[in-house]
Amino acid sequence: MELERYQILTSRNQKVYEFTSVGSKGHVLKRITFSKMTTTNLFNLALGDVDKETGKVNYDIITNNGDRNKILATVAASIHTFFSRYPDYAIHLTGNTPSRTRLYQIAITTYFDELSLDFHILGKLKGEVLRLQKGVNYEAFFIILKNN
Amino acid sequence: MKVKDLMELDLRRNPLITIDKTLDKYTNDPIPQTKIDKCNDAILNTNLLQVLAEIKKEKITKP
Repeated sequence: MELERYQILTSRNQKVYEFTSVGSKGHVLKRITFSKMTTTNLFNLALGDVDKETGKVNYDIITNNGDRNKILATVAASIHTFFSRYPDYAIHLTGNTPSRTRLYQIAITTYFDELSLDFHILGKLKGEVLRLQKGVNYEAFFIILKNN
Repeated sequence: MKVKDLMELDLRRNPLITIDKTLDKYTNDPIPQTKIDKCNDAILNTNLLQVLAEIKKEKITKP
């Protein structure tokens, strides 16, 4: 993706990423966490805002900082980095709420052609996991690194 | 990496990703239970594992 991205920090195991969103609401610290699911080779990707006072992550907040595309490009960069360390795992991506999931859907659909060069993208719909198709609303997404 | 090399990079589009060991402590932070539930539901109640196995097979057999 040739969009602008934020500079990213990552933990030594490359499961945690942080960057600062800059926009109309000011500077907002964002954290991406890849959490291993216990039963299979699957990580969950969670993106949220870090509360300056508590240090805890708010996964429900919608910041509306006016930099959505730059954030999405940054998340995509973190996924690339994650796969460089964990190429044989799959990533699960879903929102806490239907509207948040819809936001992920818009992002994936917008950049589907570019993302498809590097990743298999699957969608969960009514108890079935399928290869993603444009124009269909899914409940969750799975990303797997292609064997390029 | 030398300064000259750094200056030639387009860091706005392809940022350097810097390791920060202070982030290590967040590795096991809890995530919302709804996400875990949705993930487990996909594992237990869909064909996810079958699809993943098929993709893995493709990856192995692709020249």
